[in-house]
Amino acid sequence: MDALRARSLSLAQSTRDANRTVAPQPQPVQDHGFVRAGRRRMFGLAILAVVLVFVLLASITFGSEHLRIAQVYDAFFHYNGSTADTIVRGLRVPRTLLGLSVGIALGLAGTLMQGVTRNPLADPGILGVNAGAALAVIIAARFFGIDDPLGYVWFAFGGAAAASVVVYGVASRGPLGATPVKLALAGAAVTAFLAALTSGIFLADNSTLNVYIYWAVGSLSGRPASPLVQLLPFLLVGALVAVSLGPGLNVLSLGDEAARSLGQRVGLTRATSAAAVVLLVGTAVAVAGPIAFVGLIVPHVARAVTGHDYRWVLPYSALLAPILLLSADVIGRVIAPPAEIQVSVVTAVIGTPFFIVLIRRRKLPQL
Amino acid sequence: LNSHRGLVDLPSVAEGSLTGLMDPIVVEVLGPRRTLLRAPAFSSGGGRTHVNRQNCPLGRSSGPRSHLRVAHTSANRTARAMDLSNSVTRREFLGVAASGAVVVLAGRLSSSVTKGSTDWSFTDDRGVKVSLATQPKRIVAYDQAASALMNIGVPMVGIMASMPFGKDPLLTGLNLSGVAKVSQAYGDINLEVLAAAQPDLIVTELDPRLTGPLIGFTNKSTQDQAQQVAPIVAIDYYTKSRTNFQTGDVIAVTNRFEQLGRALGANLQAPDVVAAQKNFEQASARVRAATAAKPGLKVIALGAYVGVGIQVARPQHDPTLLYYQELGVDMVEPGGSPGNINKNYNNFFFELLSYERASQYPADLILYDDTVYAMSLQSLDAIPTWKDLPAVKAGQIIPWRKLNPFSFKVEAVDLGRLATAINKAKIVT
Repeated sequence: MDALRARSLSLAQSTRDANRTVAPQPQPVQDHGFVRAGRRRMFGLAILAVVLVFVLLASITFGSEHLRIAQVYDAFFHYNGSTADTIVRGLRVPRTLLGLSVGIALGLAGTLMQGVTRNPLADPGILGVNAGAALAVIIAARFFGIDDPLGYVWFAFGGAAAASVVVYGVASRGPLGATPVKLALAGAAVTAFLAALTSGIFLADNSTLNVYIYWAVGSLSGRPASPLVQLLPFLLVGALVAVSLGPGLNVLSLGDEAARSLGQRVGLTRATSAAAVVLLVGTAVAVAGPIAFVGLIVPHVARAVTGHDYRWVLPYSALLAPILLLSADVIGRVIAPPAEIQVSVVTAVIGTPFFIVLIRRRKLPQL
Repeated sequence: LNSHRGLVDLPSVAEGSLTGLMDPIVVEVLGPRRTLLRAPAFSSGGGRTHVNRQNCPLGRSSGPRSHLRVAHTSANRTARAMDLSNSVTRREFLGVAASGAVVVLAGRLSSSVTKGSTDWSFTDDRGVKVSLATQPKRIVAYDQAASALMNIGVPMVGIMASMPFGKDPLLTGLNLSGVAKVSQAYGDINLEVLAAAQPDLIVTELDPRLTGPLIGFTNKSTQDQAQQVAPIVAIDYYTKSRTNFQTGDVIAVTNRFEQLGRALGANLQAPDVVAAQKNFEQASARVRAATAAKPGLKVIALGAYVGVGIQVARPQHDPTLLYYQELGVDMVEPGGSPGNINKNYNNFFFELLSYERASQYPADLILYDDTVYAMSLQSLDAIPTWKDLPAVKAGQIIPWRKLNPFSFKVEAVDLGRLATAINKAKIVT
């Protein structure tokens, strides 16, 4: 609550500053502080970017097949089609890019969801995205006989989008529009309904089992690269929209009333955020299956590092999430050679204790 | 082999969802009965002791059996299936109450009760002797057993398939008209369909782990409910050594199914059965000759699965691949220890490789999993390490029946295909 009050105070302060056109007395101390905080955050971002680069390199260097650094280097600069070259260029690079994209998408979407719903335990799945994608995949397998990742990726994306539209539509009914509570309730109800349909089809015809079960294991391995290429434009648009929503989320975090009185179009901000979440998570879930916990944890880590200003939380999340996801993936690759552990399993193992600590903390961050 | 191995823990998922449904009372009651059934069969070190079914509390003695047969109209059976949980619990309870007395009296009673009251009996590989008043005519079998039996002329009234009938490679080429679909996914038994099929006998296989239910069932309570509908016969493919999990080759296991088939009225002297046996021998000779002509040609059996990796089969634990080895085919033996079958079931039959390790075991000819669970060869094109395999580049891939058909007729076709592929294959490693 203190943070909230401090934020609204500083906001009021800056509004006053902006209105003070007469007698522009410079306030060097305050400005200096603001710039210094900004610099520090910039510096933090730069450090994260460097860490991310290292993680990307690690993801290309380490895997269940042991390659020497020189071999990895050669794959880029002296390519001759050897097995090592194929592994690096054909598997690790696409997989790393997949992890990078999915990580960015999950990190941004998680932050947006927590910001829009002002719910510290919200994850991107709250809009019914995963449930919608799961149902669509199982429908594709059952009724259209599509059991190829290239075929069902569009179903997954479409299902994710359709489910979120329904959740948002249900939540926006009534006088106040899509309030956080209504969003959470509608999301839970629609998710339960979609999950029931999925189980129904699943139980009625287990032939869909294999398609669904492999899809439902969130993994970056053996996923063809072309679906990502096809869906990349959606992800990019979603990411740009998400990053531009920082100021809007800041105002929204004061509460709907305050936000409205400050001239914020609350409904519009929410709808834009929801659209960005659909683009981001729809893509992520379609190309890699459901990966839990990344979208939930990362915003908390980002807030712990940079404070509550969404203009900073969003870019921090966008860097932290791929770092977490790719680190988890690298761990999964090297702990069980010659096989691998799926990244969703590793993130769940890392995420569960974090989640328990989070909900047991006396003071959840007030959003 | 049995169909749920290699499906990458699918059964454990199904099991997880189903065990929750198990009635705790039933589970508790099961304990003593299982001990009663199992103890004599496996404590006697190799030699199989025959446990008369009449000794076991749930087994129908032949007298009541014939009585029951009159009483059970189909409607009545269906009703029973629908009300299984109650009736099972009650029966089990009575059964266990009686079991103490049965154990004491077992030795004396068995001979006198058996005498004269049964015309048909078969002792399965658990050591359970199923005795019936007449030779069972209406058979329901697990898909692998069904294909083994149908191919020697034993008709089925129902099949417990581990995937939809149309997609089950074990069922292709069989006449399935009028055959009840008892399950279309592993362990997904529809008890009503089973009861409506009015089977006299259910045929399945023994799970090598022995601790769980029989093959085709994902939990003991379903197996028990099926047992209420008809007695179960379980065939074991670990004919060489049960304790070391040494499977017999495909001939040994098929012969065992033929024994059962003969007991069920199959005419093994029928022209097509004899012809199938002859074809099998000829095809075997072709493979032997082809292999001898291509020294150094390595063959690998595997399947690739989305997001999981590549599973390379251990030929020692697959009756068909074991037979290929006996014919001289140089089958790739993956590394790593098969480990404990009870701890890691899949690892016992396969070694799992990541896609990065696709080229770990060089091979000239690939036998590729033909079930719907494996990635299509087309979608595998997206995996560059796979595309780079010499055998893949040379197009030297043929389908592999991961679910062994224990039928000389079907095996003959596969052997013929293998011989042709070996003849055509170039050594590329």
